[in-house]
This record gives sequence, structure tokens and C-alpha cells, in this order.
Amino acid sequence: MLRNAIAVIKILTFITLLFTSFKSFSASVMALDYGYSKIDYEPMSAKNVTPMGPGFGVSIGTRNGLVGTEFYYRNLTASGDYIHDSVTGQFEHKQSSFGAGVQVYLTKQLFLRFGYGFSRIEQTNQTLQESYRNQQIASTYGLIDKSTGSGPNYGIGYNFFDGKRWDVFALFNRDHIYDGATEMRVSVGIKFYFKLGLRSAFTK
Amino acid sequence: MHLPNKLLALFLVSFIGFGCVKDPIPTTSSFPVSAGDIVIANETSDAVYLLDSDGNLKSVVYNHINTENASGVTYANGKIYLTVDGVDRILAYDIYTSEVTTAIQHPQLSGTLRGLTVLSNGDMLIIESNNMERFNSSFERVTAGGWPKTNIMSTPTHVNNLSDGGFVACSTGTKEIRLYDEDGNQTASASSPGAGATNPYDCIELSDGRIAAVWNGTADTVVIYSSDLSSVELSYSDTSVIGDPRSIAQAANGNLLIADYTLDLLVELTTGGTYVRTLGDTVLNNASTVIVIPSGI
Repeated sequence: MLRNAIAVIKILTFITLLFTSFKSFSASVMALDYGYSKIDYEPMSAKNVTPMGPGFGVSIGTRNGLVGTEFYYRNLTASGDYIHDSVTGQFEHKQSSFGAGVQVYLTKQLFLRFGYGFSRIEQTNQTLQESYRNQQIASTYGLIDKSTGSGPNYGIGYNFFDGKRWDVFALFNRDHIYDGATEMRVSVGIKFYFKLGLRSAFTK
Repeated sequence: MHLPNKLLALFLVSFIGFGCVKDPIPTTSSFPVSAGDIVIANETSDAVYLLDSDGNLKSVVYNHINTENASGVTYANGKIYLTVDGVDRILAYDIYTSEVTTAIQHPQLSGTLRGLTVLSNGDMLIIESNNMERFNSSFERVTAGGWPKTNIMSTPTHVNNLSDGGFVACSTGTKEIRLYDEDGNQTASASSPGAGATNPYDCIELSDGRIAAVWNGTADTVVIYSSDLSSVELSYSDTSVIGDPRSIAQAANGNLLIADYTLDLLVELTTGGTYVRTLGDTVLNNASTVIVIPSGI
């Protein structure tokens, strides 16, 4: 209950920040990125099982000088090897995440980001054996079966060219995706800046 | 910071984050039953117990109603099969889920049920009175090829499979141990190894192919035969240690486990005839059949 309340407070804080930013923004931003993620999920990582794999993300937002905002969607498919009852197998981790965040620019190009997101996760065993053994594997590794988690995320990013119309950026991000699970992600992408902002759109 | 340095920094961050992946730590299943566990039928308590390899009670596999008798036990393919003499039937205990189901209940299986085994081809043999019934792997009664074997012996007690596809059976009425091929043709036999060794209650094939048996009588005796029963290679008798042997099994460590019906315990002997210890003496109640769960489950 307390955890949910804290989550709601965080979401409200972000929404407030976003609207504060909208009041005086100067540009809208759309970004596409492609990255590589590593999943640390306690029941798995305790046995050195760490699903890793590629994923893509899209986001839209605003930037006003040293402050930016974003709404994002990310998709990820990762895999990790395990050894159970002397059989080597593989887990698949599928994840779709969405959320919102703010970016704080330390320089024109270097920024920190903080956000809060929701992740839909499905972990499956790709190396099926007898049903009773599959149940043991699912239990031992705490496989998440189509469940949704949420949590804060934070990262550090860099816009390589300080472009006015577009830029290439790199982002290192850490995301709390589920109870006991975090995603560490390195990605590169391209972002486009539009002079027409949301405020203008609303007033026209 | 120049672009190459930026890319180098990105590479460095990636390496720190993703480069240190260790090999997975192997895990194992934790099922209710493990290799090396001992399963033992207790005639008086009408219950089948699961003990660990040191004889400590792990669970009750099945507790029959008081008018039914747990007479035979065998293991095959993830199941512990039990003969129930009462409303005659064969129960299957799933070692992975602990679920108990009825595997066989047949109108022709209505006599006195004792031992049972599963042959290497998957067929199940069940002792019924003086007969040997056979059911295929789909639990359909076999009525071809001379099956069932009526009057195979007088009061056969236990039957156990052989690695060559056949089986070994023993009888307290005929008072013999007999080897059979997979079709049920007798290939060898052995009678009492000596005075006072009267009733062969149980006989099994050891991991080295030899045959071990327990003979009950005034001189309770454990015997190890050659694989064709042609010679006695070990004879152990000490009535202060074993007083009423009814069943024998080979433990995971290779030693022999002898179920004593009267002393309510298991006696562990080496295959060289050396006493090791007793097990299960706090829980057994007229132990009549003992088996050991094999490796590789």
C-alpha cells in the first residue's frame, strides 16, 4: 500500500514537472534509439543468470534550455542461459515499458535523466523438458509470467553534436522494472527537434 | 571531449556493465523423492513410507485403509507403483508431484496381490495368488504368448526385473528362486542354500548382475548368487542381527538393505557380508517390501 502511494506521488511529481516545462518550452523532441540491455532479476542473478539482449525505444518530449521532458516506450527481448539438473537451457525475457521522465542538462550536451515507468514482463523457458521439471525451473528462477511492474529509472546521456535540428545521442540508463528486477541499458539513437511545440499547437 | 573519446567512454561504460558475465551456477530440482531414497511397505500399519538414504522418515507415500494391505512396491519412470490387496489395484505415486492415481484396476486382478515389477520393455508383472499377470505399458492386460502365467509357482512373493529384459521371482510355497526370460520362460532356479533357510521371500539383481536373495527360516540367510544362480558366492546368517528377513534392496552406495519384518528395521550389509548399521527402526512396522529409488531420476 505504502509502495503504491509513493509511486502515485512520484507520478504526480513528474506530471507537475512536465506541465511546468510545457509553459515555456521552445522545442519538441522526438527520439529513436537502439540499445542493449542486461536484466538483473534477483532469483536469476543469484545463480549468475542474466538475460541480455537488444531493444529499441521511441520517445517524444520537449526541451527548454537546461530542462527536458519525455514520454517513452521501449521494447526489449533478452535471453540468458541457465543450467538445471545438468541440462543447459535458455530463458527469454520479453519486456515492454512506457513512462515519463525529465532531463536535466549539466552542459549543452551532457544530461541526467530521471523518470518513472511501467513494464510488462514475460519470462519463458525456451528449453522445455518434462512438465514437472519445467515447474521446478520456473519456481527456482521465479519466472515472471505476463506481469506488470513499475519503478523509477535514471540515467546519464550525451548529445554528440549539439545539433539544432537533429542530434545523435548515447544513453546509459538503469530502470527498476519489477520487484527485485532492474534493467541496465546502453543505447544510441537519433533525436529530432521541432520548432513547433505543444504550447503552440494548443493555442493555434 | 572529442568524438573518439566520447565513443571510448561509451564503450567503457558498456564493457563495465555487460562485460563481466559469469557462468551460470547449476541448480537442481527439489522433488519429494530423490535418488537413493528408500521406499518400504509396512504390512501392519498398511502404509508405505519414504525414507532418506539414512533411514529417516521423509513422508508417507500412501496410507491404505485398515482392511487393505500394502504388499508390493516397485519403481519405474518417475512412478512408485504399489500393489493394494483389498480392493485389488495398482496405485501410481508420482515422485515429482506426490499425486497418487490408480494405474490398474482390472476384474481379472482379484486374487492375493503381492510383488510387482516393471520390465525393461515397460510391461508390468504382478503376482496374483499363484499366478503372474502381465500388463503392457498402457496398462492393458496381456493375454497372448502364454500370459498370464497361471500357477507359475506356489505362493510367489516377489518378482523383480533383470537387466537382460527378463525377471527373477521367488516363492515361499515352491521354495525356489527362479530366473525367467522376457517371455516368461524359466531359465534357471535355485533351492535352499542350507538347513534352516526355508522360504525365499525376495530376490533381486544387483548392479553387477549377481542375484541376491533373503531366505527366511530358523537360519535366516542372505545369499548372493552368481548371475545364473549356478553358484553361491556369499551366505550371511546371524539371527541376532537379522531375525525375519522379508525383502532386500541394493542401496545407492551399493550395500544391501534387508527388511526385517519382526525387528521392524532395515539392516545394512556390504556385499561382502559385513554388518554396517540398522536403519528406520523408529518408524517401521512389519516391513515387508523395500526398494531403493535408482539414480538418474
